[in-house]
Formats: sequence, structure tokens, C-alpha cells
Amino acid sequence: MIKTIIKTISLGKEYKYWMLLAVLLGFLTIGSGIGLMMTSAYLISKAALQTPIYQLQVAIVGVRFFGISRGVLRYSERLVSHNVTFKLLTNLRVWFFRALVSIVPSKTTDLSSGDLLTRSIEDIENLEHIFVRVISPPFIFLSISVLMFYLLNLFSLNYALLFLILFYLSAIGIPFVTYLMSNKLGRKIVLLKSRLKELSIDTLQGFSELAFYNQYGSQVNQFDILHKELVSSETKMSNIQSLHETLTGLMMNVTVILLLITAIPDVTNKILDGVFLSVISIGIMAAFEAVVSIPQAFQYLSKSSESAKRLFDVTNQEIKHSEIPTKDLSLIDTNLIFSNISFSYQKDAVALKDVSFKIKQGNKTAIVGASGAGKSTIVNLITKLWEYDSGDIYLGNINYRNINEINLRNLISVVPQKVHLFTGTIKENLLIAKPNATGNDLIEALTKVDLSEFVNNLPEKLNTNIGELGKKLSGGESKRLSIARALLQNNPILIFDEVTSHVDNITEQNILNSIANFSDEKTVLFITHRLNKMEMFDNILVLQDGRLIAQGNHKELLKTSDYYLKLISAGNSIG
Amino acid sequence: MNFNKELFLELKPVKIKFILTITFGLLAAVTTILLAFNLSKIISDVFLFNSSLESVYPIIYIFLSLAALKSLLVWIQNYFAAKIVAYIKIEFRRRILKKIEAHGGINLKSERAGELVNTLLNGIDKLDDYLSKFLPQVFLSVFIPLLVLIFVFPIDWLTALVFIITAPIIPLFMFLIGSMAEKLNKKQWQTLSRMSAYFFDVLQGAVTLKLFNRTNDVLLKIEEISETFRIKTLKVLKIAFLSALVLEIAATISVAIVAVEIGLRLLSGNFIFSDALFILIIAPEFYLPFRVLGTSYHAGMDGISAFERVAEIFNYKNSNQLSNQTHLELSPLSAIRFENVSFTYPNRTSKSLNHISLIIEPQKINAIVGKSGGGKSTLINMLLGFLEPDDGNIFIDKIDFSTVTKEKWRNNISWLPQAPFIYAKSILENIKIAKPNAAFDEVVIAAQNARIHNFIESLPNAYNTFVGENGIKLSGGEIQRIALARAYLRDTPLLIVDEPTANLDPIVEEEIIKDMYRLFSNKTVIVIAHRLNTIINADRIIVLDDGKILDIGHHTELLERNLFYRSLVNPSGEWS
Repeated sequence: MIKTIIKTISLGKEYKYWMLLAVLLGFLTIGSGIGLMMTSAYLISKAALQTPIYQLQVAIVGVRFFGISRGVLRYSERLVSHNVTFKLLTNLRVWFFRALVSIVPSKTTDLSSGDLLTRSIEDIENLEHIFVRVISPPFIFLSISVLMFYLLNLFSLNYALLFLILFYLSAIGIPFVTYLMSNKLGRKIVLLKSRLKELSIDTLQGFSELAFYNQYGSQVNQFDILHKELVSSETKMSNIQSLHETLTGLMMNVTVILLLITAIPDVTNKILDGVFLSVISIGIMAAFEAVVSIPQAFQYLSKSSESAKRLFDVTNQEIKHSEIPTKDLSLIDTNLIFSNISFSYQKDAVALKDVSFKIKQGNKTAIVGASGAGKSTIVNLITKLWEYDSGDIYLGNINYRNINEINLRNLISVVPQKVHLFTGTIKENLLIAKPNATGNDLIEALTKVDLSEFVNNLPEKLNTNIGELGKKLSGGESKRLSIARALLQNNPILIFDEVTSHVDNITEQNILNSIANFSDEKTVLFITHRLNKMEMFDNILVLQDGRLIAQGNHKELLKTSDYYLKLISAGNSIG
Repeated sequence: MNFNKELFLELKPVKIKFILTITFGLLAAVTTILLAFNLSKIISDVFLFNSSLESVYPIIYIFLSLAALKSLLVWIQNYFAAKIVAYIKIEFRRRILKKIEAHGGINLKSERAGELVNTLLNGIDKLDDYLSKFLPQVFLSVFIPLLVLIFVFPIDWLTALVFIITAPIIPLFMFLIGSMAEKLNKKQWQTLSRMSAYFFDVLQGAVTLKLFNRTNDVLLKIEEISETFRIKTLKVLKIAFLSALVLEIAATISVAIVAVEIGLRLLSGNFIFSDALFILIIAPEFYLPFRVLGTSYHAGMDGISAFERVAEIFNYKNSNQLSNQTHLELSPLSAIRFENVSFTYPNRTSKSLNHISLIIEPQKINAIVGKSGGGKSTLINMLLGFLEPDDGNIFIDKIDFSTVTKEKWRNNISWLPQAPFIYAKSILENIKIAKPNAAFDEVVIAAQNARIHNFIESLPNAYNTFVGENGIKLSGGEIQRIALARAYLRDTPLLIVDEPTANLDPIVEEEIIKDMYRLFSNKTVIVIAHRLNTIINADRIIVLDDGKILDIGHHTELLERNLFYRSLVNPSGEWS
């Protein structure tokens, strides 16, 4: 738990002086509170003895000084610690994004799923306050305990030791006891919460069928039972936590009284000046301010470390690609050769087995097969999103293992199966492909996919906002925008991964026609499970269960491959 | 500030608990004052009157008992606060779930469902601190200072005066600075949420960015945006924290003033030391409630914004439930007739169904085709009893459908939705949802007919295997077969099918659909068709476009006479 926290906080190690400053200011804030109360107590005690006023001047100045300094210190402490918080947050985001980019797309976990990312963002936000809530309070507590030890030791080592024991008992002992009390309950709550979440997802996402089968009511009853159990556990938990709080308050009073019991005989025996009785008691009360934020630190500690652990689970998968020197690839031909390629995402689950084929420069090739046959895997290997296990891929005559992925991706444009449009305008989405594109470039690309008229009819044309993740566009429109984006790059190799799934037949036809027309000099790779207009392709690769079982053009395959025939007749769809 | 009347009124049923929370908070404050009183007495006795430890023991015992009593009172205060939280959680979550049903959750899209789950669970959790900490504190920060004043005034009116003068300054400044900061703060929250949205966006699009070689640009942009945010936020905080600064300074300076002023009067001999010490100890307590209120500011803000979303759901309109009592047993030969039926979805202008008249013929395969958004799903949702026509009538034989109890009516239908939902339960329960009182043998027969029995038997716990969210993941084809088993289990005269369009393995899909027609061969079937083979086999095809019926007929005749149909089925003309 502590290890995870240290690992997390070390992400902001460049700000360690800021952190130190924040802790120092926090210490000084509580310190001046103690100073204010102690000097005030000293002042009135001395005054009660009718001490001449000139002897009180120092105390009066002290009271005024601490009175003002505390507010100013508190103010600066909050500013500095929030500054640290935001800097840490920036680093957390950059760190997580960098790690995530290196591992997507991953087959082991669906990293692009909204759920996982939402949770990750929540986790990052949980860690946002890790400094203010988890790291800084114990250090402030520690330094206050040293200060009090020093001050009390001026009177007697006994006081100092007694105080130290009780002070640490309050800050560590009580949390430990309540931790033992709540540990089991805490785990029960986590479990109940996750079951309740599961049930809620079932109830709301599966609403239609529950309503249809008249089962919504009974589902809600189940929710109710589980929920009542959760709420009663949470109430118990909150009672334990409040026990924590009240025990800390009790400890303060006990500490004061025990020190008084120790000190009173000293006063009677004239070892201690009676003036200091009030100084000591009031000082101790002020010092307990440092204990108040400790329970919260404990609560956040486990929460933060869980969040951090989940993030590390993702980022620990980070793949460090070996750096391949950059090489100019612009002059080579773009024949792509797969030679005996085998690949699996996970052990025992072969995604591609001994696949060999050649995609000639300028050819249009289709890859067909049922879902799970390995079609998208080929895309992942061509784009170097994954490294293959055995065999070789050649571009021109250069082995893929010697090609830098950045250079490679300047040759290949991909229209992915799952189109991702960014929140923003049409223009911004296009410029991702080519930041320095001119207005004409954009219009040209849109024209090629029959979108220019559509865009022209929009009130704000290219500057139209397409909403969160492009949701304001229809499925066909976002597919076409995504194709335009790929075309804008003007790269010699174009890959279309299932661009025609989830669109109606008419849109599909339009997309296929555009592809047939625009790319005469381009190498095209078209991946689909819907086998329409297959005669437009120079070569078709038929995949089944990770193996290449047939290839040829449409006419040849109709004669030679039964499986191809089956795919054709099964896959015909309408509307 | 952060006080929501609507939410406060929700506490009416637990008002006694709320009053008790505040009362025990006040009682705890009384013990705090008494503790201060005792402590100053002990110190003063020893310091000025040379009392021995033995002689002050009685006061020490009182002090300790009071300390224990105070802890108990605080604990009870929190106990009642926790009860209030528990009540609100149960009440609110129940109400949300009820509201979703009444509102007609059929229109839930999956991303909306995700957001609702979030509000239902996390949103309500955020009310926790608001109800248990912030709200009672609002009241306590009025009452406790008053209480302290009542005790201090008889002892020293001058100190009381200092308190009275400084006390209003604090809320005044907090209010002035607060309202200034609040505007900035709101803006800042917006930037924050926009920044989070950007971050979420680029995380989701990570693969795309990678393929376009844009990841380094985005890294810089994340850094830049976060940095701008930091600088802007700190500017806001510089102002927002001023309220805390004023509070702190007012509190500490008052203590300083009181200390010096009392000290000087002690010097002149017209003040009692124990009273002086008492005032010094109690002075911080006077300001403490304000400080606590200040620190729970965020809890307040979070709670309010969470409640606003919850209140939005509470205010959803109920979908109009007509009083319908007719129980209808559908016979295999019943005909379903639409007469002039129209429907428009709320918040939309164009009609989803526009004066539709048609007959669903019994014991035939009635296919519906058309582009997406053409009105196919609306039509089916009416037959499923999820939507009522705005205009026109549906007749089952001669009975007006609007008078039929929909819950009972559904017992006549088997339904195969486009994306069947698998619940986080056992496979047995997942199939039995279609007929909760079905015997195990019946379920097995249904599974055998849906050709999923062998697969289920191969699983580690057979029919008791856990599936869904945290269980075994089923493939698209397996899910369709579970849905088929559900449909078969019901054995009804009417089958409604929305054919899948998702990436099912085409060969698997073909087999499933063949099985389906085999199982329901002499029933009335209504199918939203997406596949050529389906419509070739259909007895009649209803062509819908823009909410209107364009044509009804056989595949071959439609192909011949209907241009829209031809372009829909066969845009390239290659199968003619």
C-alpha cells in the first residue's frame, strides 16, 4: 500500500521542493496557532500575578505576531499545496496517456472501452488530492510532535515523553484500532458495491427485456434487498469512523489532564512555575490540530492506493519498443510481403498461423472471413501496432523489423473499424491527419467521399462542431469523414477495416464506389465480412481461423473455394 | 450559499432525526464550554491558590466525565446524521428506479444507461457528506456561537462585544469573497470539465492518434492545457482562499485582542484569572464552527451539483399510461390491424410513423424493410406495448389494442431483440427470465431446440454457470441462441424479431436464423429484416420509408415494381 503511494508521489518528484515548502508552511501554520495560545496563556497568567507591564511587552508582541502570521501562513500553505496538486495532476495525465498509447490496441483488456477509461480518469482524480490529504498531514504531524517535544522538554523530559506517547497513540493507535474494527466491513462494502453496480447495469441496460418479461419489479426488489444491506453496512462504517473522531477528541482532553496530573505536584513542590500550567495545557490543545487531519489521511490512503494500483495495472503493461533508427522510406516501392507470419495475442490463442501473401503496389486487395478469422490482426501487424511472433514482413525489400514505426505510419493511412472522431469541429478532425493542410486540401478530401456538399450546407461549414466524439453525425457520415481524413494524408498505402459494417446498403455502395474510383495509383487493402462488389478487387484473401485458406480474384474463388461461396450466400444483407 | 431548498425539504420525513443531530451537536458544545470552565478552574486553583493535586481531583474527575460525555454526544450526533444519510439513499435510489420505469426506460440508449447507473450509485453517494456534515454544520454555525456568547456575556461583556463585532464580519466577508469567487469558480469548473472531456477524448482516440503519428503533439497539448488550467485556477484560488484568510485572521486576531485586553485588566486587578483563562480557551471554539463550515465547502458544492442531476430525473414526465383492463388471449389465427396510426417521439418534429394502415397476417412471415430511422422499430415497439399511438388505432381481431393490459398482452409474444441482453446471473436464470415458473426440463428442451444445450453442458457448471458482466463472456452467436431458447420457452402464437446487424459470423448467423424459422414455422412472425435470405423466404414484405408504407408484397413482385425496394435490396444490381 505504502509502496504504491511512494511510486505515485514519485511521479511528481521534480516538485519535491514545492512539497517541502507546503509541509513547512503547514507546520508553521499550526506552530503559530500553538504559539498564539501559549503566549496568550503566558500573558494572562503573568498578568494575574500583577507583573509590571514592561515585563509583558515581549508576550504582547508575540501574541500580536502569531495572531497575524497564522492567517497569512495558512493562506500561503493552501496556495502552495494546491499548486503542487495541479502540477502532480498534469504529470499523472501525461504519464498515463504516454503509457496507454504505447499499449493500445491490446487484446488482453479492452483498453479503449469507455468503462475502463472513465474509471481510470476517476482514479486519476482520486489521486489528485493525494498530496494534500495523504502525504502532507503525517509530515506536518511529525514535525509538530518534534516541536512540542522540544517545548515541553524545556520544562521537563517527563512531560515531553508523556506527551509524545499520548500524541502518537492518538494519531496512530486509534486509527489502528478502528482499522481493525472496520477492515472486514470495508471489504464487505466494496463487495456489495460491485454487486450492486452489476445489478444496476443489468437493470438499466437490460431494461427493455425486463419490462417485456414483467421482471423489472422483481429486479428492483433484488436491488432493494442488496441496497439495504449495503446501506446498513455503510451506516455501521460511518459509526466506526465517527468513533475514531470522537476518540481523538477524548484523547486530547485525556492528554491535557494527564499532563496536568504530572505537573501539578511539581508546582506544589516549586519545581515548576505555576504560570506554565496554563501555557502547557493550552499549548497541547492547540497541538492536536495536527491530529485532526490524520483520520482522513488514513481513509484516503487505502482509497488512493487502490486507485493507484489500478492505474499501475494498466501502465505496467507499457511496451518499450526498441528504438529503430529513422530511415527515409519515401523512395522505396510499396509491395507488402507477408512471409510465414504467425502471431498470437495471448498464449494458446493463435490469431494468425503461417500466413504468407503479397500485396502488389497499386493493387486493390480484399481480406474476407468471418469475425475472429484474423482480418484485423493483419492490420495491427501491418501498422506495427503489434510485433509479430515469427516469420517476416517486408515493405519494398526492407524487413519490417528494421523500420521505425513513425516512418512506417507516414506511408500508411488506416480507416479503422471503430471510427474515432474527436470532440470539436470537422476541420479540427481533418487536421489531425495533416496539420498543415490548406482549405483546398480539406475540400478536395471531402469531395472524394461525397461529403463536400453536406459540409457546405452546414451553417458553419468546416467549422461545424460535430459534438462529443462526433455523435452529431450519422454512422455513414462519420465513416466518410474518417475516410476523408485518411485520404488527406495522401499516403501510398490505404487500409479500410470494416468500413461498410453498420451502414445501410446505399451508403455501403457509395463508399465502395468512391474507393473503386479514387485510388488508382494507391495500394488498397479492404477488410470486410460483407462480401459485396467483390469483383472490383484484384486479389481476395480468404481467412478462416487465422489461416489463409484461399486467394485469387472473385471469379476464380467462386470456382475454387466452397468457403468463399458460403460466405457470399450467408452474408447478403439489405437495408 | 450551497443551500438547496428542494433537497432540504426532502428531509421532512426524518426531521426528528435532523433536529436530534443538531440538538446533540449543541449539547456537545455545552460540554465543551463546561470542559473549558473546569480546566481553567483546575489551573487557577493550583496556580493561584496553591491547591494540591488531591484537592483538585474532584474537578479532574468531573473534567474526565465531561470529556467522555462529550465524545458520546458527538458520536450520537453523527449516529443520527448517518441515519438521515441512510434514509435519503434508500429513498432516492428507489425513487429513481421507479421513475425510470414510469418514464418508459425503453428509450434508454446504452450510453445513457451508463450515465444513469453512475447517477444512481455515485451521484447519490456524493450526497453523503452534504447531508451528514455540511447541512448540520450550517445550523450549528449559527447556534454554537450564540451558545458561547450566552456563557461569555455574564463573565465579561467586553469580550462578548469583541465576539459580537467580529462574528458578522466573518460571514460578511465570506459572502462577499464567496460570491466573487463563486462566479470564477463556476467558470473554473467548466474549464475543468472541458479539460477532463478532452483528456477522455484523447484517451479513447489513442489508437487513432498513434496511427496518425500525433501522440507527441497530444502529450504537449495535455501538458499545455493542464498548465493553463493550473495558472488560471491558482488565480481563482488566490481570491477564494481570501475568505479563509479573513476567517483565520479574524479568529486569531480576536483571540489576540481578547488576550491582551484581558491581560491588561488582570494587571489592574479587576478581573479573575480563572475567568480569563476560560475565555481564552473558549475563544477559538467560538470561531470553530465557521471554520468547519469553510472546510466542508466542497462537500456542499459536490452535493448540490449531484442533487441537481437527481432532481432532473425526479422531474421526468411519466409516460401516459392509459387505463387498460382488457385481458387478451391471442389465438394463432388472430389478425393484427393498424389503422391510420401515427407517432412522434417527444422532442422531435418529424413523424416516426405517419398514418400507417396495414394488416399483419396470422401464421405468416411478415417482414418489414426500410432504411434505419424509417419507423420499423417504432412499429414493433407499439406491438410490444412500449409505445402508444398518438393517433389512429390498432385492432387485434376486433378488440381495440389501447384497452388491452399490456403486461398480460406480452404473454402472447416471444421477442428476439436485435442485441439480446445477458444478465449477470446463471444461464438457467437467463433463460428462465422468459418464463419464471418454467420447470428445469422445459428449459433444457428449449435450449436443445435452440441448439445451445450441448454448449451449456460443456461449461464448468452447466446450467448454473455464471454469465454476463463478471461471468463467462458469451459470443454473439451464443447470445442469439440463448435469446432463441427464451423465445422457444414462451411458446406463444406471435414472434417478433429484430434481426441482428452486428458483426456476427455470417455462417453462424445463417444457421441461427434457419433454426428460428424451423421452430416457429406455424406461428405469426413479424421480422425487421436485414438479410436477403430472410426476405426471399418471407410471405409478405412491408416496405417502410420516412414513416410511411411504400409497398407491400412478395420479394419478386416488389423487385419488379418498386424502385426504392430495388435500391434497398440490391443497390448495385448484381443479383438481378
